[in-house]
This record gives sequence, C-alpha cells and structure tokens, in this order.
Amino acid sequence: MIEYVLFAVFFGLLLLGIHRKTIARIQRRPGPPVWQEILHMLKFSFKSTWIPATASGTLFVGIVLLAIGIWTAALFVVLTGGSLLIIFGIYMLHKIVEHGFGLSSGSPYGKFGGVRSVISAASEIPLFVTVAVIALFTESFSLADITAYQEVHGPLLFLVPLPALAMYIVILSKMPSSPFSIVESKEIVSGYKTEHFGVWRAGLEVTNGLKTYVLLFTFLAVFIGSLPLWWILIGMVLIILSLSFVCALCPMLSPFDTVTVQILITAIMVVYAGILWVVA
Amino acid sequence: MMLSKSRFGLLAFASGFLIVIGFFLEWGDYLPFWAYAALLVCCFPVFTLSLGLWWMAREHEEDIPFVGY
Repeated sequence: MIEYVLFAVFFGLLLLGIHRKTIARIQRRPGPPVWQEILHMLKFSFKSTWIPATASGTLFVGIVLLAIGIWTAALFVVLTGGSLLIIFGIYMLHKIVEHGFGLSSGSPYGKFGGVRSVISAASEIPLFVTVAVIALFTESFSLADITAYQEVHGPLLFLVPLPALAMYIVILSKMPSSPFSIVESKEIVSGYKTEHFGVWRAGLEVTNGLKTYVLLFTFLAVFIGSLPLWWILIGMVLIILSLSFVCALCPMLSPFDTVTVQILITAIMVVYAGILWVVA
Repeated sequence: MMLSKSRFGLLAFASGFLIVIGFFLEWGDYLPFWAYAALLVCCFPVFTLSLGLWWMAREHEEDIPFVGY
C-alpha cells in the first residue's frame, strides 16, 4: 500500500498543477508547468530548515506529522470502502490542523490564517447534510454499501444532484485560489502556512496532494459509484478542470461573504433533506 | 531546539525500515492489513519529514520570523 500512498501524493499534486495551469490559461497567462506542485514539494524537501524562534516547537513540528498522518489514514478508509463518517471526521480534523499550523508559528499572518480557518468551518455544514441525504437513500454510511447501492439504482449524482453540488462546493472551498479560500488569501501572505518553510512546507505539500486525491476519490465513489482506476483518474481530472474554471472566473469572497454563502447553501440543503425525508 | 542531523538520519532509516518490513510482512500475509495501515499512518509522516531534515537541516540558532513591516 505504500506504493499507493506515494501514487496518491504525486497524482494529487499533479492535479493541483493542472488546476494552476488551467487557471493561468483561462486568464491568458502561460502559467507554470503542470508538474510544478511536484517540483515544489521536492524543492522544499531539500531546503535548509529550522524552527522559528517565536514558534511553539512541539506544535510547529507535530502539526505537520498529524496533517500527513490523518490524510494517509483517510486514503486507507476510502480505498477499503470504510465509513463516510470517518472521512468527514478527518476532514473536520484538517480544520483543527489548519488552526494549529497558524497558531504554532507565532507569526500574526499565520494566526490570521488559523482564525479564518475556524470561521470558515461553515463550509463543513453542507457536508453533514450531504451525508444525511446519502444515508437516507442508501441506509448506510459505508462507502462499500453506497457504491453497491449505485450498482443497482444508478449514480447518486442523478438521484440526488443537490447534495452532489453541496459536496462539490465543499471541495471547491479547499482548492487554492477558490472564491472561499480565505485561509490562505494574499492579504495575509500565505495564511496559516506562512511560517512553515523548507521541509515543513514539503510536508504540507504532501498533505495537499493526499487531501486532493482523497476528496476527489470520495466524490466519485459517493456520487458515481465503483469505477476502474483509469476512469477514476480521468474523473478526477475532469472535476479539477471544472473547479479551475470556477476558481479562474470567480473573485475571492471576503470572509463575511464566504460564511454567508456557505450558510445559504446549508439552508437550501436542509430544506431539500427535509423534503426528501417527508417524501420518503 | 532541533535534533542533530545524525538523529534525523537514524529516524528516517528506522521509519523507512519499518515501512519496508511492514510491506513484505503484509504481502506474505504475516501482518493483517489494518496493522500495516496503522504502521504506515505512523511511519510515513515521520519518514517524509526526517528524510528532508537529515538532508538539509541547519545546525545553528533559530531565526526570528517575518512579523510584519
């Protein structure tokens, strides 16, 4: 399985590179090569590294280990058809990780990023409603059961398109340059990751690769069903391309607007789930 | 305070060794899959960071970070 973990890291980073390249081409810039994020990870791995004097050393280092660890665990849960609740529990843990990244360094920009990570927790609420609607249909939280349900009844994407849209927006909120990516916007330098340089940043890049792979894999498994690996990879590229279009064409929202939009989405989803529950 | 480079090297070697041993034990059905997964979740982050730190970590005083203009 180590070979799959490494594959997920590199393919996830390649997807992020495609994301950057597509945004650049839409904006009529040449943009970096698609393997730029992989090069970033390798470059940061071999830069001189130390812990800033103002940092809380244990948290500063421990949070990077935790970030890689939780997304490695998430990858195993997805691959073994485990519970959707564990994957989304890990997604929630990532929020705490972002917060820890920001607070550990002692830099005000990191702290702003950490605080914004907490206020952007509104983006997780549509996720819970999505999970609830899926459980209503499939009567299970297990990914294996959800894919089995789709083999009989067809993809959930067509049966319940609104939860698919909500989860798409959740993934969008985690993409770089997205309208909701307030935790790393440029007015706070690089947000929560400002002071994590060198090997620490390389660890963060590994996390980003794994996270992107796991979230897109989960989306495909939950809303399309069981697919051969090649189709999954093609599906991931297609989703990344669509996300890139949204990111390139939409301005970044202010923190207040981000929370407002996400709460609106949640409200729509709750009403939708309520109607489904009554009808069912 | 950072550890010395030699200790990071030892850490990278130990975690890498455990991952490789776990891979072969799981392959030969001597180790259950969940145990190998738990081993990877613990060792993969340690290996990733300690390898880079062994390669390029500095061995002098820390710096003051950028705290604004």
